[in-house]
Amino acid sequence: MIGNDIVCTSKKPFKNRIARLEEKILCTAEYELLNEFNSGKRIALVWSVKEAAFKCCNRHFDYDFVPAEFCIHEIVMHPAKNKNVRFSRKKYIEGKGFGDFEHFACSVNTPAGRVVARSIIGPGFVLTIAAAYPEDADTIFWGVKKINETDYKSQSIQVRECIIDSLIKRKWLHEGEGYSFSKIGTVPCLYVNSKKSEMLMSFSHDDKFVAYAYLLPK
Amino acid sequence: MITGEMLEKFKEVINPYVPEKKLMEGINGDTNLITDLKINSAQIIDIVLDVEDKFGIQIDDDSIGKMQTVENCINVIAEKLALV
Repeated sequence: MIGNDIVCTSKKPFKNRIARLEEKILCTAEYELLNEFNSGKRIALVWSVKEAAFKCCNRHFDYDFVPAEFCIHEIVMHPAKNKNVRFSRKKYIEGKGFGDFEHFACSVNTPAGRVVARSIIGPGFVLTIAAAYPEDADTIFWGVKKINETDYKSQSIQVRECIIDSLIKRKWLHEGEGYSFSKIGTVPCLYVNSKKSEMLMSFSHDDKFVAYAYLLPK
Repeated sequence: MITGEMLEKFKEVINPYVPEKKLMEGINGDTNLITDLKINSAQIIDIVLDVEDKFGIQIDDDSIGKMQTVENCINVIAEKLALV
C-alpha cells in the first residue's frame, strides 16, 4: 500500500482562502501539532499528507475522502542526511526515500488504521509519500518534475515518461521491452510485455508539477 | 435525471476547475468529478467552498465525502438548502 501527493504552493486560489480551507481540512489536534508552521505551509503540508494517506488506503478499501478522518497525530522533522543534496530550481528531482533531504515524518490515523507519511517541502511544492509500513516509506522511489503545461493530458503523459525513465535508469525496465499503463479503479498499474507487474505505484499532479512514487516488488 | 436550475448553477461552480471544457458537455448525474471531469482532487475542497458561497449553505465533513458524482453533489446541496 503506497500513495503520493504533490501540492503546488504558489497557486493564487490556494493562497487566497487558506483560513477557510483549514477549517474544512484540519482536525483540532492538527492545529495544535502544527502550530509552529505558518498557515500557508501548514495547509499545503496537511493536505498533501492526507491525500497521500487516502490514496494509500484506497487501494484496498473504497472510502469516501473525508479529510478530517485522516488525522496526523505525530510529526517529526528530520534533517538531511546528505548535506550536499539541495533543492535547486532544476526541473527534475528524484530519490529513494527522503533520507537525503530535510523531511517530515508523520504518522497518520485513517479509517483503515495507521499509515506513515514522509514529506518534503521544495521550491514551489510539497511532496508526500505514504505507506502502510515505515520500511516501505524509506525505500519508495520517487520523482518530481516541473513541466511547462498544466493540462491533464500533458501531466498524465509526462508523469508516465518520468517513471519509465526512472525504471530504465534503475535497470528494472530495459530498452525495447513492451510496457503499458492501465488503471484498476483509480490505482495505476504497469504492464511489462503484457504481464501485470507487482510494483506498487502512485501518480499525482498539481498545476505545473507532476510526481510519481513506486515500490519495487520484494 | 438531474436537470434544472440547481444543476446549471452547480456547473457554473465546477466549470473553472474542469481542465478540458469539452468534458462539461456530457455531464449527467453519474458523472464523477475526479475520474470523468479530471478535476484535481485538491480542488474538491475549493469546489466545496464555492458551493457554500454560491448557495449560501454550510457543508459538513460527512457531506464532503459524498461529493463525488454530480448527482451526489446536487443531493448534498438540496439537503443543506432545506435546512436554511
